[in-house]
Amino acid sequence: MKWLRPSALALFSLIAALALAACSGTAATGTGAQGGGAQKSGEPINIGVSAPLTGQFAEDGGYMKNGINLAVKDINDKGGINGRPIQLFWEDDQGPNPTAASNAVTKLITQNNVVAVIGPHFSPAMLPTEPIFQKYSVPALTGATGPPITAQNNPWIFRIRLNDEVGARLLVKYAVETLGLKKIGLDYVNTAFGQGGIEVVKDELSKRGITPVDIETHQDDTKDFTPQILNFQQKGVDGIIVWTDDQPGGLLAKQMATLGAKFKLVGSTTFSQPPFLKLAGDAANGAISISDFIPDNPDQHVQDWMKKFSAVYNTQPELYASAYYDAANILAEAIKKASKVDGPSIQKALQGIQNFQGVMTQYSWSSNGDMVHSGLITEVKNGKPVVVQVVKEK
Amino acid sequence: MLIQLGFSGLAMGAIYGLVALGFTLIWNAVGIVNFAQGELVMLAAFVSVASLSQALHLPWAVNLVLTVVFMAVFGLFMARGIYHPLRNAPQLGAIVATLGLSIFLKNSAVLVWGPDPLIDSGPFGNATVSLGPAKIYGQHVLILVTMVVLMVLQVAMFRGTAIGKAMRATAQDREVARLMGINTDRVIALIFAYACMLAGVAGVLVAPVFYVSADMGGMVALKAFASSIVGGFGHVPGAVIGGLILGLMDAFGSYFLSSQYIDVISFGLLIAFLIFRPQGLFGEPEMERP
Repeated sequence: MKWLRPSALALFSLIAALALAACSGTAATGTGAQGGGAQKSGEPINIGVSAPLTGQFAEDGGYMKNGINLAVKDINDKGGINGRPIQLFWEDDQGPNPTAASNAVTKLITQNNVVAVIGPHFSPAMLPTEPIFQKYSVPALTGATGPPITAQNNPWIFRIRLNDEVGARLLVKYAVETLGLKKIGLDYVNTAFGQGGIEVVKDELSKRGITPVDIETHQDDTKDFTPQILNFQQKGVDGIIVWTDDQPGGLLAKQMATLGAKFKLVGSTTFSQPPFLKLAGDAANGAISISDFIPDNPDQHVQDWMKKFSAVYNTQPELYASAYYDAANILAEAIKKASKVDGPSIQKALQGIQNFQGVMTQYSWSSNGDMVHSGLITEVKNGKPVVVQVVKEK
Repeated sequence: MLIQLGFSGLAMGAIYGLVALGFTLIWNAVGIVNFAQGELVMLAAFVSVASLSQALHLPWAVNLVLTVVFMAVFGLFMARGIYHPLRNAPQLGAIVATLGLSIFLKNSAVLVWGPDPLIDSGPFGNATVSLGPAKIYGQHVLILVTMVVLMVLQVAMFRGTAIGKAMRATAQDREVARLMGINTDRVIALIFAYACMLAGVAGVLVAPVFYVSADMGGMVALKAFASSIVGGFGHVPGAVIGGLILGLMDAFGSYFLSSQYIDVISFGLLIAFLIFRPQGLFGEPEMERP
C-alpha cells in the first residue's frame, strides 16, 4: 500500500491543505486549543513503541507507557508536530525476548507504517532487531545499555541511556577506589545484557590488577540464590558486582540478608529502582548501583519533573517513565527539525541533537549512536536510593 | 554448608513433589497430562497472597484452609467443565484443553491482579533456624513439616476411607471400578479436586519463598514433570521422591558445579532417564494407558 507511506502522506496532506486554502479563500488558522482537530492538514505521524506489556517485565512496560503517553499528550495538546498529531502504536515485546521483539518491530514497521520506533528496551531484544531497522530505514531510540547495541555500525540506532561500556567501568572505579573492595565476586544474568556488562566489569578489574575470586551466573527466572551466596561466603568476598534484571536482583538481596551475608552488593541500574526496592525490602539497604534516575536527585530538572509527573499520575516517576518521556520528546524534536516526516530524514535530524535538556539528563549524539555520557552512583539508604556521586564519561 | 543446601534442596523438592503428585494422580485417573498444573499453583498463590493475605489479613492457617477449599471447588469446575465434555474424545483433545486452561489462567491473573509481582513474607518472615553453622529458612522448615503431615494424611485417606479406596480403584482401572459400582464420574471429579488442593498447598507454601507472579507456573510445572519422570511416570510415591531428588540436585549442583550449567545438569538427568530408564526409578517397564 504504497500510497500510505509517510512521504506520500505528507505530500498528500500538503496538496489537500493547499486545495482547501484556495477554496475557502481565508488564511489557514491553527486551532491550537483543540489540539489540531480542525486542521485538515493534520495527518497523524505514526510512531511505534515496542514495550513489555505482558510477562515478567510488564511492570516496567507500564512505567514506559506512563512516560511516553504523558509526553505525547503534551505534544498533541499543543497542536502536534508542525500541526500533525502523533499517533502511537504499541506492540508487546515481553521484555528480553528476541522473538517477540523482532515480531513486534516488524509489525510496527510493515503494518503500522511508523516513521520511528521507541524501544525495544532490553538488550537481548534490541540486538536482534537492529538489522530490521536498517533494512527498512527506520530509526530506533532505545534505553538498552548493553555495549554491543552501539557497536554494530548501525546508524539507525540511538541510545538514550548510558552505555554499559562506560557505566560498568565507572561503577568498578567506585567499587575499587571508593569502597576499597579487594576480593570481588561477580554474578550476572545469562543474557546479552548480563554477559555484555560483566565482560566490561572483568576487563576494568583486570586493568586494575584484580581477578574476581568467583563468578556465578543465573537466569531471569532463577529463584534460589542460596548456593551462589554460600559460594561467595566460602570464598570470602568483601563485595560482589552483579549485572542483572529486577526480580533476580531483588531475590538475591533478600536471600543475602536472610543468610547473614556481610559482603557489599554493587551492580547495574536495577539496584536503584522500584521493582528491586519493593522485592528486597529492608535487604535493599546498602546496595550500590550505576543509575540514571532516582527521585531524590537534587538536580532542579529532576525535581520539576517529579512535580509534573505526580500531578498527573499521583505517584513518583522512576527510571523507565523518565527515560522514555525524554525519548519521546527527543524524537518529537527531531521530527520537528526533519526536512520530511520519514525515516531517513528523522534519522539525520536525530544525529543533529546536541545538548538536548531532558528531565533525566542532557542528550548529545555521538558517532556510534550513544546520546548519554554521564550517570549517577547511588546507594540505598533507609529504603531509598540517594546519589553518592555524579560520574561522567571522559 | 551441606545441611543448609540439603534443607534448601529438600524444601524446593517438596514443592516439586507436591505438584508432581497432583499431575500423577490426574494421569493415573484419566490418562491426560495436565499442562495447567503449574498455573494452578500460581492461581492458589495469588488467591492466598493477594486476596486473603493482603486484602483480608487472615492468619496463615485460615488462609491455607480457605485457599485449599477454593482450589477444591476450582478442581470440581475443572473436571466438569474441561474434562467431562472431552472424556470420550481422543486424549489429545483433553490435553490441549489443559494447555488452553494454562494460557487462560496466566493471562487472567495479569488482568485480575495486575502485572506487578506480589511479595509476601509468610508466617515466619525472614526468620531462620540455626542448626550449628547452618541457617535454615523458617519457610523451608514449614514446607517440609507440612509435606510430611500431608503425606501421612494422604496415605490414611487412600488406605482408610471409602472415598480414598474408590479413588485408588478408579485410578487403577476405570472400567473395572465402574463395574464394581463406583460412580467413576464423581470420583474423577474428586480426583481433580484433590489434585487442585495439592497445587493449592504448594502455592501457599511457595509464595513467600520468592514472589508471586503470573509466569511462575511454567518453571514449577517443568520441574514437576521432570520429577514424575525421574520417579516413574504414574507412580504416586515416585512423584514425591523424584521431586526431592530433583530439588537436591538443583541445590547441590548449583553449589559444587557451575551454577551456569545447573539447568543443563537437571534436564540432562531427565534426558538420561528417558533414554536409559524411561520407567524412572519406581515405574513399571511397560505401562497401560488408563
